[in-house]
Amino acid sequence: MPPVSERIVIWRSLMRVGFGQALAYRGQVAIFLLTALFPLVMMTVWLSVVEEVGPTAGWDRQGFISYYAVGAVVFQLTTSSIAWRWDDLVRTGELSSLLLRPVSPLTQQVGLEVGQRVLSAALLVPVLVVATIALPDLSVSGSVMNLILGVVALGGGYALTTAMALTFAMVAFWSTQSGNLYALWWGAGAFLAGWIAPVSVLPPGLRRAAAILPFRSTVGLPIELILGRLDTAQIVVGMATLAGWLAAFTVAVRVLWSRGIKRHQAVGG
Amino acid sequence: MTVQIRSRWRYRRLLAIFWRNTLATEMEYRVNFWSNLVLSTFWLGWAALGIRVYFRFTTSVRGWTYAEMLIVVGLFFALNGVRQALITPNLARMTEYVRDGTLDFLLTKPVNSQFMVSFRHIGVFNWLDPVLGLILAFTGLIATDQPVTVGSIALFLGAFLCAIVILYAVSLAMMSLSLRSVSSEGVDDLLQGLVETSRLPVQIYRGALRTVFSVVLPVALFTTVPTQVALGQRGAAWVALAAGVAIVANVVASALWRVALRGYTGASG
Repeated sequence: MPPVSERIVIWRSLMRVGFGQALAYRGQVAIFLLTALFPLVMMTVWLSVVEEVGPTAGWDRQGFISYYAVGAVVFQLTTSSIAWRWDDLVRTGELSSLLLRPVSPLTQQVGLEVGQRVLSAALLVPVLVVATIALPDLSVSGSVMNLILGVVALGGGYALTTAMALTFAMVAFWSTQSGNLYALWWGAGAFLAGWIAPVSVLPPGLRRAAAILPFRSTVGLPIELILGRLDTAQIVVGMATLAGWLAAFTVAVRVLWSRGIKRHQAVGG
Repeated sequence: MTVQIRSRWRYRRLLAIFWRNTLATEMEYRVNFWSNLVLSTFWLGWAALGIRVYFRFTTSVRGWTYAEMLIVVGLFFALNGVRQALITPNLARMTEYVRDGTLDFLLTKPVNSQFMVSFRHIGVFNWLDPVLGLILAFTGLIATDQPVTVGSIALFLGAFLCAIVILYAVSLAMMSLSLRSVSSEGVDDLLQGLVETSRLPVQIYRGALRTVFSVVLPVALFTTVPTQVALGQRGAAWVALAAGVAIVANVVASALWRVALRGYTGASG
């Protein structure tokens, strides 16, 4: 394990490269457009429903607009494409060249992505702040403490998504289907995470599942914290759930990595 | 006349050769084929269940019941499947064609260039999406208790065919534009974004957005109008209109392609 100062240098340079890559790769903008579009369509429908039948499960017009506006930023910041990129690295054999570098390939991949997320945050957060001030329908009513906790949950949420994505990425050492498995995991999670709609509008069964499973910590928890919709007990339980799953998946990644890398023989090996 | 018939035969044979080639290449990864089938079914269920959340609170949104909306979602899935199977594999290669000079090589072939760039490749993994989507659409149609006749089904399929042809024209226009600027990465994402807006009926959009989607862009013709035709809310005149738009769009796109080719100076130019 290299000394702390050296590790800071490693992370900083990896993040800078990721930052540069994100700027250079304009296709990212199109992907952003797309992932932002779907929740906006969902929001439009909710506004129609609220207009016709009144507030649903405690969410009125202002509530839905605020949820999806804050959500648009949170969705961008707590997603991870590592599972798919890792699949490519193993299949093409590029992993072998990454293994020759003095830093673990896991660190390399995560560092690059963190850099990209920092860039997204730098672009999106100011837009959200201006929109909150300019648009009366968009209200962030969380206290300062809530906002701070929301940012902590956002960071924790990204860490958890990354840990889950890496867990599935490690499956690539045993199977060629790791990317598809992660797509299933993500798709099932999209309902329970609050990506499609706030968790509280889901049917009771799904709500109960969402409270136990890891997904809500990555999307719903940070949004609802920032909006100030959670009481102290809910915050404590939410944060504990996040921490618990983060610990579990971190252990899983470590175990799978040390087992998998021993199996790894590179393509054609 | 005989020359024309012979050339038509030639194009059909060429198409068969192209597609058999792609099929043979892709079928080397048979596990992928099956896992994509599982994924397709999963995403179809995902799309159908995702909109169900609204109907926990109301029986209709902007005049659309759940069953009616399922028809739209099914058509969206089918259209998106056609995009992924027929259009994207070719559209995504356009940038590559220009950058690597492959286009110069394609232009020297004694075959119509528009045919060559549009139908050279297919994506075999999504070929089932149109089938699955149509199954969902018909399920929705049966659930609405609307009288279903041979005539109404013929009109419905005719309207949907027009949607596919219009989508092709849009993609050809995009290809023509990408000939002009090599930096057109993400045109496929744009097309996907356009199709994505047709996931739900255009009636859910309000104000300017709705005008844009019904008048300026052909989004309404993609899924909403065919569904309304199936439900008997719109008559044969609308299918004729869609056919007219499809023909005009293709004439314009084809002209754009020829103009773009005339201005094309080759990879070294």
